[in-house]
Amino acid sequence: MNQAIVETRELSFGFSRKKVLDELCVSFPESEWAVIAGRNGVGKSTLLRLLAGVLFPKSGTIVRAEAARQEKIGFISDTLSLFEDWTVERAIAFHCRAFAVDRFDDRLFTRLGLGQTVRIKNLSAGERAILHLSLVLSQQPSLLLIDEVMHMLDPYIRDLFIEALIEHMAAKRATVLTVNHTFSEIEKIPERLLVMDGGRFVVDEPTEALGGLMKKVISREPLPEALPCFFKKTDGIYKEYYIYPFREELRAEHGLEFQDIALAEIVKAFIGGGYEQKRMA
Amino acid sequence: MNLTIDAKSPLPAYQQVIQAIKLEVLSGGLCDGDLLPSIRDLAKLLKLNPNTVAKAYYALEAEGFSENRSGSGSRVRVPAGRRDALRQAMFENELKNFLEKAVSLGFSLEDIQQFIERIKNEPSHR
Amino acid sequence: MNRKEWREVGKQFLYFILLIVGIALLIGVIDLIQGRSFESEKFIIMLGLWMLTASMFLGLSPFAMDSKQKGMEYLLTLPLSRRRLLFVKLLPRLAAFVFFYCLFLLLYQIQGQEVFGNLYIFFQLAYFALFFISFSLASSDENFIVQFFSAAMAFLGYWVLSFFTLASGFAWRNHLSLAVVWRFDAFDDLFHEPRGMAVTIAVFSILLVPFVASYFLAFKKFDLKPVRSFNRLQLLFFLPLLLLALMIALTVSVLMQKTFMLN
Repeated sequence: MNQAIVETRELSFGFSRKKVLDELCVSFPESEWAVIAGRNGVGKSTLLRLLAGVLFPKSGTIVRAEAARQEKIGFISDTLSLFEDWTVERAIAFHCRAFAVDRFDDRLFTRLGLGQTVRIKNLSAGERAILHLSLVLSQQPSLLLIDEVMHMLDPYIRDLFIEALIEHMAAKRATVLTVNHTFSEIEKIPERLLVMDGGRFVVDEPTEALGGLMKKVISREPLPEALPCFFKKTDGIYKEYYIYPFREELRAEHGLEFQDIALAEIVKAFIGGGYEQKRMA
Repeated sequence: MNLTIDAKSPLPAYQQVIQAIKLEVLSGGLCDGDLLPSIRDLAKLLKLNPNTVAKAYYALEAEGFSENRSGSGSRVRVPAGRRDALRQAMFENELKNFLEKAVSLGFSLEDIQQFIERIKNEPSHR
Repeated sequence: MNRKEWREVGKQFLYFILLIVGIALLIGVIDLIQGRSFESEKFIIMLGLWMLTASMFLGLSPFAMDSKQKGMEYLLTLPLSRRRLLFVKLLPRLAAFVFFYCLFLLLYQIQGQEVFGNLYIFFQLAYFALFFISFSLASSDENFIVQFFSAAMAFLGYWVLSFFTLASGFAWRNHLSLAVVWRFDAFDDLFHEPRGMAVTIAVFSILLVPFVASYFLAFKKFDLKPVRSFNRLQLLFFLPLLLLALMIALTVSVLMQKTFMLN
C-alpha cells in the first residue's frame, strides 16, 4: 500500500475575495505520474505552488511525507524562475550548494551543446527548461512538480525532457505531477488524470479506465436523449458528441459507432464540458 | 524490436506491451533465454510510464513467459509447446476481430470464404 | 546562499566606498581650484548624507536584486525557512552598516567629537533607525521609489513619536505641559549628560522594535501573493506592537527623566 507522498486536506486558497481553491482534498502516492488539467486560470499553477511551499494556504493543510521534505521537492514553475543575470555555471554551483547535491548530472545539458558561461536570460525557453530540469533532478527529488512548460519546448527538447522524467521516475520511484495543456508524446504516460474546476477536482480517474469511460460519436443528426453526452460540438455539419460515462451496453442499445479517443481529446471534452456548464449556469 | 504503442487504442498500454513482446517471441525476435530490456530502458524507448512496463513484465512473468532472476533482469522463457499455443491464441484473437468487423460491414461467412478463395488464386500472392 | 548575499552586499559596499572617495576628491579638487585648504566641514556634511543614504539603501535592498532577476519564486523553493532566509539577508547588510559606522567614528574622531553637539547624537540615532526601519520595509513594494518614500514617511513618523515620548516624560516629571517643554534649555541639554542620553537612546531603541519585530513575524508567512496582503499582515503585527512599545517607552521616559529645579 503506497503511503501518500503529499496530501492536501481541505485546502483553500484565495486572495482579495477571489477564491481559487475551495477545500480541495487530494492525495498522491509514491511513484505515480498524475496530470492536472483544466482551463486557463483555474488554479493549477496555484496548487503546484502550494505543494512546493512557495505559497501558503489560506486554510486547510498540506501534509508532506518525510520523503517529500523541501530539498526533495523539485519544482519547475511556469515562469522557469531562476536568477536571470547569472551564468549557467553559477546557477548550477548555487543550486548544488543550496540543496546539498554531490554530483550534478550535466548530460542533458551537454546534449544541447550549451556552454556553461552563457547567461540564463540569454537561453531559449527550451534550453532554460532543460537547465531547470537538470537542476531539479540533481536533487534526486521524490516529488516533481512541473508546471506548464512542455508546450514551450521544441520536439527534440521535449523528447529529452520526457525521457529524463521517465528515467528519474524509474530510478527513484518518484511521483511526478505535471500540469499540461498539450499531451503530444505523453498520451500514454500519466496514470491519473485530474481536471480542476471551481476550486476542486471534478475529475480524478486512472487514465487506463478513461479510455473505456469516454467515447466519441460523430453524427449528422442529434443524438438520442438517453445517451449521456458530456460535451458536444454542434457547429458544423458533422457534430461531435463525447459520451461519458460510457457503458458497453450502449453499443448494443444504439447502433452508433463509438470511437475510441486518446487522452488529449478526453481532456478537451472535460474542459469543454466545464465551460458549457458554466455557460448554462 | 518492433514496438509501437497506439495512443488511441482503448487497450491499456501495459496490454499492448505484453502483446508486442509476445509477437516478438513468435516472430523469433526474442528467443528463449534472451534478456528483456530493463524497465527503465523500455519505458524510455516507448515513452511509457515505468509502472506500465513493470505491470506488463509482472503479467508476463505470471503467465510464465519470463522469469526474473534477481539482479540480471528478466529473461524470456518460451517452453516448447507454449510457442505454438501462443501463436494459435493470437491468431484466433486476430481472426475473431476480423470476423466481427466483417460481419458489422454486412458480410456473411460465405462472402468471406469466397473472398479468401479469390485472393488465393491471384498470382501476385504466391 | 550566504556566499550569494555577501557577494551582492560586497558589490554594493564597494560602490558606496567609491562614491564617498569620489565625493572627497571632488571637494578636494574644488577647494584646490578655489585656492583654499581642504574644508573638512563640507566633507563632514557630505559624509553624513552619504551615510544616511547608505543606511537606507542597505535596509531596503535585500530583495531588490532577487526581484529584478525574477528569481523570487526560485528563492522560495530553496530548502531554508523563511526566518533563516531573512537572517541570511540581514547579516551581510548589518555588517556593512556597522563597518560604515566604524568608519564614521574614525573620521569624526579625527575631527573631534563634539563638533556638532546634539546633531551628532541625533545623526547616529537617525543612521541606526533608518537602517532598521528600511529593512522592515524591504518587502513592502516591488517599486524602489515607493519603498523609498514609505521608508522616509515611516522614519519621520518614528522620529516625531520618539520626540513626543521624550518630551512627555520630561513634561510629566517636571509638571509641565507638553507645549512648553521645548522652550526649556534643560530639555535641550538633556542630550549632553549621560542620564539624558540614556533615556534618549532607550526610547529611540524601544520604538524601533515594532518595525523589525513585525517584519520578522510577518515574514514567516511571506509568499508570492500580491504584496498588499503581506503589508496587511505586517501592519496587523505592527500596530499592537507599536502600542506596546509606546507604553513601555513612555514609562521609561517618565521614570528615567531627571527633574530640574525650576525657578
